[in-house]
Amino acid sequence: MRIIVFVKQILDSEAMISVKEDKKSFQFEERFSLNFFDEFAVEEALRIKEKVKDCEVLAVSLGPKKAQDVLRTSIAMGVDRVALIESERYSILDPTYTAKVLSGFAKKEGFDMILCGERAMDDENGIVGVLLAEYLKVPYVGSVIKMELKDSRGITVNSEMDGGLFVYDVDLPAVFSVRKGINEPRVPNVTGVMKAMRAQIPSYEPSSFGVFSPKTEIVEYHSPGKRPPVKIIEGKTPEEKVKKLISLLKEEAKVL
Amino acid sequence: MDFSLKEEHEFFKKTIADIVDRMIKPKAKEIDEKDEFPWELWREFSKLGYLGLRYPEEIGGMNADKIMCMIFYEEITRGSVGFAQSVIMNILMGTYFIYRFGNDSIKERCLYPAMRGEKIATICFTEDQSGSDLGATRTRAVKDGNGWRINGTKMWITNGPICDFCTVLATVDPSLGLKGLNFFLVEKGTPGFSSGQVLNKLGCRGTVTGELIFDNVWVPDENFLGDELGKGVQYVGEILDEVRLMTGAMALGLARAAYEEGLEFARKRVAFGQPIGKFQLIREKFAEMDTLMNAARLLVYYGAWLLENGMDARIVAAEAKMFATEVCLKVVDEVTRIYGANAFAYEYNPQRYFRDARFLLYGGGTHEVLKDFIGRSIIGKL
Amino acid sequence: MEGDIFAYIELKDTSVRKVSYEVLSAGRKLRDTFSSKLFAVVIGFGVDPLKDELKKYADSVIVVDDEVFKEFTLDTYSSALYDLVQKFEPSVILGSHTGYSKFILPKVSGILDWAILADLTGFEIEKERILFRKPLFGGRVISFVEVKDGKNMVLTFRPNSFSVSEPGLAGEVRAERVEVKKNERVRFLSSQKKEGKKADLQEADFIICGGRGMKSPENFKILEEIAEIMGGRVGASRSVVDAKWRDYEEQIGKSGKTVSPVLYIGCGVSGAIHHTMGIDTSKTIVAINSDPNAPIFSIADYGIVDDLFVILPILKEELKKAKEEV
Repeated sequence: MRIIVFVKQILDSEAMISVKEDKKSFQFEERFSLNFFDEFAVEEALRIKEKVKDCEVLAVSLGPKKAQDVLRTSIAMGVDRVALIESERYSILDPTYTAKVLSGFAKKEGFDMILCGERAMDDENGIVGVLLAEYLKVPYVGSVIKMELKDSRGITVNSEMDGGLFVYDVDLPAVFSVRKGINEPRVPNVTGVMKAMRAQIPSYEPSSFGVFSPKTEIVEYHSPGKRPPVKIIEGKTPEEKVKKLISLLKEEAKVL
Repeated sequence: MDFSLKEEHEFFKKTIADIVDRMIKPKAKEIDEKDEFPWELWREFSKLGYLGLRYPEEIGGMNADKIMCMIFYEEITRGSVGFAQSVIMNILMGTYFIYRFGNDSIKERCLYPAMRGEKIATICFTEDQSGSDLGATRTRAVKDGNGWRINGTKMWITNGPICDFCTVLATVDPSLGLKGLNFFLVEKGTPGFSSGQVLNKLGCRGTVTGELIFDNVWVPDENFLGDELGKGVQYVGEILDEVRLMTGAMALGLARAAYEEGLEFARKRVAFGQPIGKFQLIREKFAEMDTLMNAARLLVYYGAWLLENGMDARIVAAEAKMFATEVCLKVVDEVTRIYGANAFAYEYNPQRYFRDARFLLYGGGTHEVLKDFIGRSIIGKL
Repeated sequence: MEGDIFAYIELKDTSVRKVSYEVLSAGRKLRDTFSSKLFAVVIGFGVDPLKDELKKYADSVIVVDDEVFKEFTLDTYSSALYDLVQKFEPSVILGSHTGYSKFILPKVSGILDWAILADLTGFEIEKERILFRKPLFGGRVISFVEVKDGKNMVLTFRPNSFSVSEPGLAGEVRAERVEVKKNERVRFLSSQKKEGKKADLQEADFIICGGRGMKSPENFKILEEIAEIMGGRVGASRSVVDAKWRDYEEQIGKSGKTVSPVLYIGCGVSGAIHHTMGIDTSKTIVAINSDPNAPIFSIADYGIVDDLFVILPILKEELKKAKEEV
């Protein structure tokens, strides 16, 4: 059985970002990490691997050379193989472009299951998984909170969507996006880390999976507006403070 | 000259830093407040296998080079000084002489379990009347049949009261001075071996530091850790540089923990209508701290590089330990000033960093002793 | 932009979900600017009654009501929507970045091979193009994106991004039959619907969020009471959810939900950046915390430094009074 997990290296949430004067690009501190939700996907793949004899987990990332880091982390967690589809630099990509390149890779490689994290924290899209399944013509279930492999051909999944909890039986091969809470990602141990440190990571050209032009283009970047400093409400008693707050919310902020 | 870390080292650093942020840093406050050995965290962390950092892969270790070791010491101290002390004791001083001189059965009983975190190791140098002055060691080992009889009291032993085995520095003949010093392995359960007073420490709380009593403790010949008698001090020399650099690395980690919190506070805390980070005198503090921390980092890692490449690191190791410690003391002090009165409350972390930093002055040699050593080495025999 | 507009309607049980009115409003703006036809598309089971409400917001309401849609499977809903697109040939499909729409719309964009932009918070109509507003990096950078072709696009919007326009249209209603392709490889087994009374966190106008400072799950009761009075929702910080005091559905922040209510009140929430990222587009932020150095005060509009257990009961009474006055 082969499980492909697509992982993304994204700008760390604490990295400093600022929009350039010309609004055409933004500067950022070179601090990256593995997309938070992808950890759950890697962990789930490893748990399935532990239950199934003869299962290979392959972690793949579309990104610049630096993205090798997240592939190494995947190895340290326990995946068998990794691959980097090397792009020139870190940027926010058109989702159809991303999905087409990744599906090209998956098609060439062959797979029984593809796992993704529910969304990337940089673009907050959460749609590459669905697109992948469509391009590869396989079933898709998103927001998966539980997976139970029946056999090498089928799996039962629980999906948690706004409306409630849904249970589906799915025939493999298929694509799933997993959400936080499906598992507790493991911390890399010494054997994994040593393997990761030594690993040679194969690199692929995105164009080897087809030439796709993005359908959307980011034209401008803006900084979000800054909020004015806080008004700490003073008062001799708690009652006084609360009354002041209510009147400010009514008269000044006009939200009551 | 390449100042960047090798790719594998960068990855190692990131991985350990992440583990520290997830597993250790969140518990640092509690460990300090409870001042109890954190058994659950110890077990969880040991399972990952990093306690074998320095030892060969063949016996379950990581075969880490000196740079990797420093990275590890620095990151783990950034998480929690109390916890770091225990971890590092098992990694280096508590097990080195066992690894070096212990026979197979001793390794099976002590080294491998310590590498897995199943046993707590420690080393005993200090006594009531002897700290830097090893020659004044009074703990006595006397040949007795096919073994040795040890008598004495050791003080300030990290995790002494909870250790499963310890490496004891004892003299076979006080008149020989330094040449009489040797190492012996004493295991828990040996008749006459007990722990005494436990110390209530200002910092590094979470380790159980105290007195170890050796009352007519008899150990077999195989527990003598050495090739021949009288080489104890020489054997210490084998790891002394690393121990000093390690202390320097710990100082870097602690400094950074304090610094990062000070930085966030300066960015957010408002006084006179603006974030205090906008005031010149606050900016000056960061300029100074960053300069010193960069210099300390370079010195520590330079020393590690010398050591790793088989060059003479003695002077640099001593300088690095001293300098990094002084920098750390300055940084934790400055951060308490940035925090203002808040630093005075146990609720916030700067007070803990401030207290924890003091121990760095003692491990690996006091600065008074180190300066004399460095000066002497430079000027040469006159 | 040229061509007609589909506004895909998301449901909550058997009523139109609040965010869908926002989507219709977005559609209305485009319709008015480009003189296009605006279709409200609703697919489900037992949805026919909704046509009366929806026709006030669109030129045409397409209703697909069939038992096959009783339970949600991605393929049935998507193939139905695809079929409608083939029939009516819109060049823009709008929806909300919520619930089922989050999956249906991208899937349909994949089948059609159209451009897709998700989680948008607005758009600006310029002379030659439309720029869609998309927050990046938890809102730290706002990007403006163009669809290169100017048509054939699927767009999903974040809740609370548009104000609901006045109803004012008189749409015709069409009941449609569609080709539904079931996917034999995905079989629905069962579902458990959660209690549907409360508005989704992302659509709430009022959120009162509890952090570690609430000290225990029982203390959230008063937050629930206040939320009830205000017609809003209770939110939770990550540490509260990790401690299992509240459900992940209520988590606000980087790895939870991004919310944009009119009024957010944080109680005992320290305000670490991973949380504040999720609230900083709220209209008004109030923080109640006994720690004057809590980071949340650097993003709040108003703050009370005091014991929240003393403040909350008073706040509840005052909010009740304020609500009754209206």
